[in-house]
Amino acid sequence: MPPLQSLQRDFPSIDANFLQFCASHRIFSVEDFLVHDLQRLVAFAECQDMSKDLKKGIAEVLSIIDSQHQPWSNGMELLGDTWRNKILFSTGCEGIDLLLQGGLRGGQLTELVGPSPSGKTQVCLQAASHIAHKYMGTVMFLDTSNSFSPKRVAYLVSCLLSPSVKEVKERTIKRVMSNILCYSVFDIFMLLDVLHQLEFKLTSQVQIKNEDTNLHLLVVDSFSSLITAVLGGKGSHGHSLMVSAGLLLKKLADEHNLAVLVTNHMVGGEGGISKPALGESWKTVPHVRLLLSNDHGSNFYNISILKHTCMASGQVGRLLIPN
Amino acid sequence: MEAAISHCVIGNLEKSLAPQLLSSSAFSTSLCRPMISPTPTTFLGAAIHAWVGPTFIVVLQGRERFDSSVPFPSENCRDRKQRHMQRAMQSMSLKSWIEGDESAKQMLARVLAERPLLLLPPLHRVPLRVGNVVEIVGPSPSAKSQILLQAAVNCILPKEWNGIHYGGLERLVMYIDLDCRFDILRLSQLLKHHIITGFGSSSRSGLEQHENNHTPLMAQATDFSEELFRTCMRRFLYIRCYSSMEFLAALKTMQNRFQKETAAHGVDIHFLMIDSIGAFYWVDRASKPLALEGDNRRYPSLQSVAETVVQDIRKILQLQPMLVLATKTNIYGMGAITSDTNRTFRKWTSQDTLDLRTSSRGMEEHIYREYMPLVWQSFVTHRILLRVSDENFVEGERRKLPIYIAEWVLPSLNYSDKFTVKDAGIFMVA
Repeated sequence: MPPLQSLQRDFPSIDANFLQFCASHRIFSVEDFLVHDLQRLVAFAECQDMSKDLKKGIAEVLSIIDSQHQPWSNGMELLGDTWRNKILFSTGCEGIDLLLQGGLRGGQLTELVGPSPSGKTQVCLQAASHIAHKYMGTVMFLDTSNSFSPKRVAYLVSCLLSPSVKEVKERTIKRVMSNILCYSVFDIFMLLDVLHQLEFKLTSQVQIKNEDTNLHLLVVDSFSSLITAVLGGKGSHGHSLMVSAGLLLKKLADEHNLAVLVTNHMVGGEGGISKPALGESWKTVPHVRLLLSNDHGSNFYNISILKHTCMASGQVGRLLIPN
Repeated sequence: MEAAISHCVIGNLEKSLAPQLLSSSAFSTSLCRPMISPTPTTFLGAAIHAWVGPTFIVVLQGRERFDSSVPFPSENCRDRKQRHMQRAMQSMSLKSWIEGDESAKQMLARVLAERPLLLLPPLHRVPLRVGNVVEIVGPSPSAKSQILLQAAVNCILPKEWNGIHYGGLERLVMYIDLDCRFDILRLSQLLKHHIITGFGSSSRSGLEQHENNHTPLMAQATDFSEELFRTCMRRFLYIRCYSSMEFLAALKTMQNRFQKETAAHGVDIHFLMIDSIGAFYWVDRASKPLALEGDNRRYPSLQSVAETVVQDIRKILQLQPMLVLATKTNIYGMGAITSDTNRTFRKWTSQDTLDLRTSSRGMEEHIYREYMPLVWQSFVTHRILLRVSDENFVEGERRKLPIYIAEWVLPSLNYSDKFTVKDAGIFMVA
């Protein structure tokens, strides 16, 4: 939120006199206004000489504040937005689509948690290729541990295509592959940077074209490895970064109707029993949490719902990942 | 019972007595302080004495402490001129008020109609009413948001619609989503379920009467429930906030919004829901002031944000009395708030790895760990604690639903309730 001085040009009632009055109450930015008791400020302003101008200035700042929050909406408006924009993206993994009654919902943050190997990355790649192919959309794959394999994606895409002339098939594979954008991200700051850039890009695209952007899926594989590097120690900085990144992902998801898929690996806990790398404080972030586990070294994987906004937790499914 | 009675007095204060009490020396000090006065028990006791006699005092003493967060009409305290005017105007009404113009029974009926108590499982053990600030504390997941949604559905449903009883409050709900993961589909699912069951129960009785008119009755009903559904959904007002600053901005400018909404709907707002209040704890804790001129300015920190949030909500409650329901997630972080001994209870037992819940074992000892600033803690009037039990509720053949345990800690009650969440909402488990 801007310092008051920078508002001087655009808002005539924020003048030198008003700035001086605010400075006497140690208010220098719109942010400072927010942590002040405005009624008391108005009462102070009334005792001043130029009380009318000062009150006008306060009202002006209040209208700026009003533009700083998300809009209020009622239940029907929300429901309409969900029906129109928050579609279910089929992942191409039958087990997951069945369990989630259709797939990943746009606007939501879905987390895959499981030990290694439990097919997390495979599910991500499968979802990426399926969504890029079926919905003709763009997929953004943020790769933190060099797990993205173009060969695997090309193979998965070719599985989706019906048998046809070789040339046609190759062209389609090329098109789909070019719609999957992979970025290597090696620390949390880079991730935040990429996400902020993406937010800026998407917002300006919406403003210019005035239509929906084509990005459908955002994958962060693995999200937890970025976060665990900054967790620990005495400070709360790691947690702060984790929550901020989570909020940013949810904001992107909601405003641009993206499905966001992140993975969370498991680490050895007390007594040799493994637990998710991102624990209690992370639990409040994702909309949907899915637990993956391998079924005795076979191609089958078990999947269960740990948390879902609409469905009861504990439901289980099975999923086949072809070699 | 006590809750209703203390409210009666407040209700009357709002109507006619406040200016009078202000002018009389006995009450002026406690009432003239703006807004929440922490010592209403004594003067309320006195007021009740003067009014209905000692019989009611017996009722009062049997219950838990009086809740101090009931908003007082402080706009009267502010404006001196207005006070003088009203003092003159209302010298008559005090007399009639003391003499009493309604019996206790009438009064109770009136107050219960005007400000109904919330008796919604699992919050049904303690009568809750507007002005209370209820904190629902539990790990994630422990059905916290579910309780909010259930209360919201109950609030937006009408009491009756086309002769069908739904038992709702027909008021507005303001839902502030700080976790940013509210799902409107869940709310609509719950609401639809309530509308269908409400209709189902009465259509059966209807069918008995008009057995031949089966089909037209059904066709009519679907039209009605669609309209009812839309009307109810419009009573649900939602905002999401991605930071503390957005939260404060929303609170600071909320007054306009609710004036508009109450005018448009013709009904009051009953609930202010916050899910969840600790959402920005980590972010705010790590925040540092921007390097602007002036050193010791009041910069946005965990403490100042909490202070302002409480202050702003108090002001909102003053203008529009509401029941505040706030959820709070338990957090187990490192550093200042937890020591090593406290961390041991997040053990993952072998069976927990399957469903990844926080083990409830050992929870009894560390049942509740406060991390919100003191100013928020003291703002809360009621607190209920939720946790996941080790048991499951078996529904149908294959579905196992977790059983949650709810326990009041403020006021402290010695028993706990068990409940589970089905598609249709919260069900108590015996």
